[in-house]
Amino acid sequence: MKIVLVLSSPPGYSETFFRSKIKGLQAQGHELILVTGPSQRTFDLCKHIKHPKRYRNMLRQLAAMFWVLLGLLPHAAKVYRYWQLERKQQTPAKRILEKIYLNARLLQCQADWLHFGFASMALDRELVAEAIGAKMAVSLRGYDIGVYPLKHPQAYDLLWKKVDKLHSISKDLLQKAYALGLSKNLPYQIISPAVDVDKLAAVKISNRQDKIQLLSVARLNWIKGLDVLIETAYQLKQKGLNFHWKVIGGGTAAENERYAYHIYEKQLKDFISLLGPQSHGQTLARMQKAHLYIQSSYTEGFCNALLEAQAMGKLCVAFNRGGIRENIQDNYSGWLVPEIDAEQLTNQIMQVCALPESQRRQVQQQAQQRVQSQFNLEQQQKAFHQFYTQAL
Amino acid sequence: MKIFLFDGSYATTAFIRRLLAGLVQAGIEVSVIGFNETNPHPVPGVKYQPLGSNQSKRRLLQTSWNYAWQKFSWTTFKNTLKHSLRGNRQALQQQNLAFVLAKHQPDVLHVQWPSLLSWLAPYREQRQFKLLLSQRGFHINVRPFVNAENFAYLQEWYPQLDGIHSVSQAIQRVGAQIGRPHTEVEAVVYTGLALEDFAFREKRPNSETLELISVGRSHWIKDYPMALRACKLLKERGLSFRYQIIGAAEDEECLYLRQAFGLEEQVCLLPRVPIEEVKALVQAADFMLLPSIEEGLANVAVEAMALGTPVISTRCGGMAELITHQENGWLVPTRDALALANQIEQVAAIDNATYAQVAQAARKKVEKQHQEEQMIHGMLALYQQLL
Repeated sequence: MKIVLVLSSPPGYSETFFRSKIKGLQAQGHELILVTGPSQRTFDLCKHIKHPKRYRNMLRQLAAMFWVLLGLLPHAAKVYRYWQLERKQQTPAKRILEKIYLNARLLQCQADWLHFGFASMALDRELVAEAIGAKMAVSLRGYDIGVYPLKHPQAYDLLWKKVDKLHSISKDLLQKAYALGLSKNLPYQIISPAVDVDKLAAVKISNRQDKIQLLSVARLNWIKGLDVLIETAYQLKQKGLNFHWKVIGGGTAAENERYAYHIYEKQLKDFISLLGPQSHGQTLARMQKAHLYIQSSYTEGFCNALLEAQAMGKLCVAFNRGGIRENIQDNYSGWLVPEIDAEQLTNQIMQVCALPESQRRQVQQQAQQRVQSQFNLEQQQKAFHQFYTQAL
Repeated sequence: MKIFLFDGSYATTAFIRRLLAGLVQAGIEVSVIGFNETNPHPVPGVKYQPLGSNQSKRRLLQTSWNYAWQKFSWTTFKNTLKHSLRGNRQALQQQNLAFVLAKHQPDVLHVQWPSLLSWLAPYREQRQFKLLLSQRGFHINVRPFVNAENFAYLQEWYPQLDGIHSVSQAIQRVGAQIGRPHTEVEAVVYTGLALEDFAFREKRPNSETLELISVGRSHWIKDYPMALRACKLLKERGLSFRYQIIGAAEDEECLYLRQAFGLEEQVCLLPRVPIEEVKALVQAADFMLLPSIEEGLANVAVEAMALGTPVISTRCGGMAELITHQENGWLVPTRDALALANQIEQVAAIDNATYAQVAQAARKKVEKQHQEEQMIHGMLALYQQLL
C-alpha cells in the first residue's frame, strides 16, 4: 500500500515512536511518503516532500503560484475533482485557488491512504483525499482535541464527515472527539505510543543518603501545570523534604518569566532548576539519575516521557487526567493524584518517599514489566499495519 | 517648559492620555515620540513626532528621508542611504530620534517604560535634557528579578537618571532595590481620574446571583487561573454567582480551566470592549476581582471604586495603598484560591448597609488620592524639580 503521512515538520532522529512506525510499515511492504511544511531538515527514512512556501511579497507569491500550478497540469483531473468538491462546500473561487496552491503536493500524490498526523493538520485539507481517490486517516493528539476546539468549537465538523478511519493515542481522546461531534460509527483504532524498552536501561539509585532527585519533562506551557509544580515544591520544602527538582522543557520569554518569578517569589532557587530544552539523549540521561518522575500536566494525550520514565523503572506520580490514566496504572505502575491540586500532589510525593524499599522496588518492576508487555515497538508496528490493511 | 513623552507608540494608555491632556491644559508644550507616523486618536494640543514606523517600511523610509532632507548634511544623507539599503530599521529610528531631540530640544524626556532606555544609550552620560523614568509595573517588579541581565542593565542606568516617578510607594521600594537617580529626585504620583467621567452610582448587590467582574489584558501576571480555582470552590459550596472576565476571550488557559472545572454557566470570558461598555459592565457588577500576582497600582481597581463597585484584590504591589481591608474593599493573599473563595463567600453575605458603606468609602478614597488634578500637579512638580 502507498501511505502518505502529513505532519507539520519532519520528526527528529530521537522520535523513536514515529521512526519505528515507519520502519515497521516499510518492513511489511508498504510504501511511505512524508509530506511536511517547508523545513530545512529532510527526513531520512522515506521520501519526503514539502508543501509550497507562502511568500509575503506578492510578486514572489504569484511566480511561485504559477510554477506550482504548472506542475499540477498532469494532475488536472484530480485538481478538477478537488475544485468541484470545494464548490459543493460553497468555498469561494479565490479561496479554492489558494487551497490548490497549499495542497498542491498532496494533489500530485497517488496514494491508498492520506494520513494526517494531527487533526488540526487536516483543516483546509479535508477534501484532498477524496479528490485524489485515497482513504483519509487522522491521528488524534492532545492539543488538537483538548485545547484547539475550545477556541474553534466547529473546526472539525467537515473533517469528521470526511475521515475514513481514526487513530487515537488514547481512549480519552477518542471520547473527547465523540463529544466534539465525531460519529460513533466511524472505524477507529487506539494505538498508544510505545518505547524501545531495551534502550532504556534502568539504573538502580538509592535515595537513602542523597538528596531526592525529582524530574519533570514539561514545556513551559500552561497546560503542563508548572504553577502547581512550583507550589508543590514549596509545600515539600515546608515539610522538610530534602530534594531537588529538575524541569526539562523550553518556553517563550513570557513563559520563562512566569515560572522563574514564581520560583523567585517562593524562594525556591535552590530547589527547582528550569533546565530549558534538552535533546532526547540528554533527557534520558537526566531521567536515569532521577528518583521520582512527576507529571504535573492538566491533561495529556498520552505522554511519552511518562512512559519512558516507567520503562526506566522510575517512580512516577501524575494527575489523573486525560490519557495519563491509561499510561499509569494507579498504585501498580505509579500513582495518580485525583485532582489538579498542589496539596494532594505534595502528599502523594511524601507518601512515595516514605515507602519501604521493597514496595518501591515492586512498583518499579511492575511499571517496567507493564511497559514492556503493553507498550513495545513490535506491538505498535503490528497495530499500524493492521490499521491500514483491515477492511473498513 | 517643553516635555517629551516617550511611550514607544502614539497609542498611549488611558492614564497617559489623561496626563497629556492635563499638561496641555496647564499650558505646557507636550510632544509624544513614537514608532508611528499616524495617530487615529490624538490628544488635542499634543504634538506627535514620528521616529519611523515599525509596521511599514515605506513610511519608515519616508520619515527618515524627510528628516535627512531637513538636516541637509552629507553625513546624514550617506548614513540614511546606507541604513535604507541595508534595511536597518533600528539604525534609521535611532537616527530619527537623534534628529527629533536635537531639533526640538525638550527640557524633560519622560520615558514610560524601562525597556525604552536602550534607545537612549547614546545620551546616558551626556545630554541636553533631563531624563525621567516612570516605574509602573511588570518591567520593574518582575522582569529585573528573574532576568539577571536586565537587572544589571537597569542597575547601570538608574544612577544616570535625573528622576524617577513611581505609581505607588510599593513599586518605589522595589525600584530602590535596583538603584536611585543621581539627583535623588523621586516621587510617587498616583494615577488620576477625571472623576466627572466616572460617576458614582449607589446600588445594592444582586440578591440572587452574585455578579463578579475582572477587567484586564490576558497575561499570567493577572492570575485569572487562580480566580477560576476560587470559582470552582464557590460552585462546590453552592454559591450562586456569575464571573465575567473582560479581555480573556482568547485565553486558552482560562478557556481550558473553565471547561475542566465545569464553570461554563458561571464564567463568561469576554473580548476587549470599548471603555464606555467596560464602565457599564463594571457598574452592573457587585464586586470587582483583582487576582493579580503583581501590580504597580491597578488602574482598573481605581476606576471600579470610583464607579461604586467595591474591589476584592490580592495584596500585591501598591494595592494596599488604595484598599484598606474591610473598610473600602478587601485584600487577600496572592496565589491563594481558597482565601479568595472565602472572601467572596463572606462578602456575598454582607447586608446592603455595609455594602453601601464600603462602596462610599471606596469612592472617597479615590476622590482623596486619585483626582486628575492631583496627578497633573504631582507630575508638574516633579518636572519642575528636575529643572
